Amino acid sequence: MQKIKAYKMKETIVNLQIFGGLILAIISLVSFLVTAEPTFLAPLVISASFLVMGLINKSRENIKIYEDHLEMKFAPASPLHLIRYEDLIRLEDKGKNQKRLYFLSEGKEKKILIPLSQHPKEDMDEFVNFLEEKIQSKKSN
Amino acid sequence: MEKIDYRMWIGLAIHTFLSLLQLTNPEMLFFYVTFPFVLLNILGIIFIVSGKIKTGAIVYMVGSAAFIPIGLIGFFGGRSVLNKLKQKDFYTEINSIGNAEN
Repeated sequence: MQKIKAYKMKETIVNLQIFGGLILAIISLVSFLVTAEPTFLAPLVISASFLVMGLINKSRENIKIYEDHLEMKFAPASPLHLIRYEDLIRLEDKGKNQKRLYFLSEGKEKKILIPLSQHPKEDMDEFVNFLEEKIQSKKSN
Repeated sequence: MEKIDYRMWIGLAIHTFLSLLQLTNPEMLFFYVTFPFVLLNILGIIFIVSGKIKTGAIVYMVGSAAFIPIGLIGFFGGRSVLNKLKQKDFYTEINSIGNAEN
């Protein structure tokens, strides 16, 4: 199936994960080597996992748009959401930086939270317009 | 066996090693705490091999969650198995609808 468009995470967030994780990992490693205190190993592992998350997020596409459906996966360990355009029901505001998308899955109404602030604003404006268009075209048919 | 993500094997090896490492500790308390989760990992893999992929992946992920942050490797593997299953079901449904319409 041909992918039409894909959206990635905001670069500032990814860089924060990578460089934040890297700096914390270096500080924890140096502290461990200097003091030989095993307590510094825990922050080392946690910061290393931040770094790995950042590296995964750098190349990962959160939202993929196909001809007849879309794929959404907002975090490396989060579930994948596959939604056909004809199953879209409505899109609602949920706070300033989030939207809630309602859709049908196996005959039941389900909802998913779309974190707009994780992505570049222009990308999300385009994506929200695209979703609203699809919902409107479904209603008019 | 191809249903099992390679990260699940890596996760299982790390979790088993970490759990067995606790045997060197004279109190062995952490061994008794961590080993049941290794057993959950093994049970998850057995479920997947026997065809109960969804149950197996969930059981495996529960076993990996106890080892987070290093357990994230196995957790990603379990999640990947679930996502692939979801994708397969979804595309089968789409294709069956397409064939019915033609």
